[in-house]
Amino acid sequence: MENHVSYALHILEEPVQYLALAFMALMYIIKISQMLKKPIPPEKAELKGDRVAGAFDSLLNVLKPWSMESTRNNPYFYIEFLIFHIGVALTIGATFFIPLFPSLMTLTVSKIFMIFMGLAFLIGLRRIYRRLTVPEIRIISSPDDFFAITLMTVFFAVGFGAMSLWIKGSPDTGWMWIFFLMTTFFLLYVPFSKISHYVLYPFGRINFGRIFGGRGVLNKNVKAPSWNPK
Amino acid sequence: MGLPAIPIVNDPGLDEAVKDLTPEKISNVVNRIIDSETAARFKVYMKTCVHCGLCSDACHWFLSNDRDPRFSPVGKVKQTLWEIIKRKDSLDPAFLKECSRIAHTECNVCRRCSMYCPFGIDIAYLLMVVRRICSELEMVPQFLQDTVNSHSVTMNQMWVKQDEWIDTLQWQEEEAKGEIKTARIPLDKEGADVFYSVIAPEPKILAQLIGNIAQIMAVAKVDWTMPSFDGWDNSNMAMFSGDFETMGRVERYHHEAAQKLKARRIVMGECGHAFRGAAYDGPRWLGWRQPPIPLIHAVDFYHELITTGRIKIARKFKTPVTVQEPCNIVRGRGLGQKLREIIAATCEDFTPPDPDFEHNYCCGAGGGVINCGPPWKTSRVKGNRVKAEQLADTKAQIIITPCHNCHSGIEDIISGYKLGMHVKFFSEILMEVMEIPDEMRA
Repeated sequence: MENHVSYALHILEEPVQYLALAFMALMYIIKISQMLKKPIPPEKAELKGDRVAGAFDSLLNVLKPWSMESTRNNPYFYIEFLIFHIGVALTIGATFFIPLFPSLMTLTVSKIFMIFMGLAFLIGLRRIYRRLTVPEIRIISSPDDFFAITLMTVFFAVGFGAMSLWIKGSPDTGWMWIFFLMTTFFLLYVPFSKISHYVLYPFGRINFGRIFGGRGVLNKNVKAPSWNPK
Repeated sequence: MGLPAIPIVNDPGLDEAVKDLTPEKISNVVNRIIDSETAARFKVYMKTCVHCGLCSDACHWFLSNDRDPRFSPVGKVKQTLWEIIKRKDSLDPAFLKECSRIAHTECNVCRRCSMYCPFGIDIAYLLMVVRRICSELEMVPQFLQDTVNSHSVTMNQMWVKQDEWIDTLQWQEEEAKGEIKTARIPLDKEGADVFYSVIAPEPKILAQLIGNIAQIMAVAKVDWTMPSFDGWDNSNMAMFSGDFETMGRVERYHHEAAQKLKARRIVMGECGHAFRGAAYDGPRWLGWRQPPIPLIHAVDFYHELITTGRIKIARKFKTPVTVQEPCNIVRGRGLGQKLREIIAATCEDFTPPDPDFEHNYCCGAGGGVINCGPPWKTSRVKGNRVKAEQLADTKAQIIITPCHNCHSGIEDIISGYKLGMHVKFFSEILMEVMEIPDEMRA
């Protein structure tokens, strides 16, 4: 595929995105450094397991739906989660591949991207519906939750529309403009929203793994403690 | 939303204390706790939660209250901590009273929800922060606060005076000697292999458990001691009320009592929360490099006695049994397998609960909830219908649990739901099945 676009769209697709990306990275650096300024008191009790193995185990449990009861009991939810997040990755990926590596976006690859965008769009709608109708979800939903999921869902739809025109040889369309304007907005907005859970979740998971790994709850087969804080 | 009204419970600890609160006082405490006492994980947890609600199905309160969203773990955090953070300079006393009700009486800080959270968020820790704020504002249910006052004044949970303690030990030694000639409760013996500590309800209302351990120690020929002075009580309700200063004092006394007697290790009786306080929360609050003396729970100790042959099993317990796995030693310490092994060694007919091990449901009594006393008993028992159903499904007649809170909580569930079962500590099973050499018998 080729990506012959107007100079204005080129500006939006590249320099503007780089600036927005740099802003997002800066915000995350500030956010994480502020977070790490707080104390991280270690556990001093006798080790009963392996903290390092526990941390790895915990970090990778996103790939092991059987390891967590919530996903073990609800495989449909896990599949939905998986498709949705692959959709997120591919939609964001498309905003890099289209301007930078258009030749990689063959018709087959583009269609795979579009399938995931379409599925993620449907899952997004379901998630909005779930947030509105399931009492235990509705009560905990904040305006940011609704805004974020709505924005993502629209983003998938716009991405799908832009790509469907793009594979037909129309790279410089209104859909594409909206797609990249939304991407820019995302890069600026995400550090301040719940969507940034993807950056913060390793901290929580590693902490969980260190605690429960060290106490011998995770990685039950590990005999020798790997690290002793004293 | 058409949710049923939460029954109003009169608790002087909250009803009276709320009258002394002012927005300024609340604001000062909230800002101090949030700014200077919370760790990095507090920020991580608060910023990572995506409000997915997957923790809800982990909570026995939520499941037992017909999926009322106010009882879900994240629902409790929303009703308390999120509001505290959002309007921390304009919080009213009535709101703080609600916070205390939710954090102290409707969450067992059992951490089952952490097992469900995709991000590993320790929701119990967040509710402990709420408890800490409430405690600093003296908004603690009266019965729970009374146990903390007792800790603070007498260094034990139940206002047991030193002469009562010593007298109870002498009484139980006599009882034990009536069964086994060599049974003793050695007081203040220096250099013993085992410093044995119990929780205060044992001398107060379950003294026979001390007599039992005297017999077990005699049969196993363990070199052991108990202190005649403060530090014998290993329980710690201050850990759950949010009075961490008192929690630290209690833990320090406990460890220092063992140190004073130059014991080689501490063996703690069958209690989950006490172990949590002594092994984890206490040393962490005190900032110790490590607990000064090795410390094990009774389950570890019985496992050692049975697997090394110091206690031999004469006959297996025949009545069908199941187990209540205490959160603080199974989910919190990974002792589930050892607990299964000692049950397998002593019981013939065991049915595991489902779910089990670290995924088992809490008894509903832990985390200081049972210590909130009679005013909150109805809501507590109602809040654990799933546990009653789970236990009934095992069709066992006896529920074994190596934890005092579980023991009392399960008793309430048995009577509340008319299960027709009985609950026993593991030591009670062991007393029935261990081999006692003839020459030891009185």
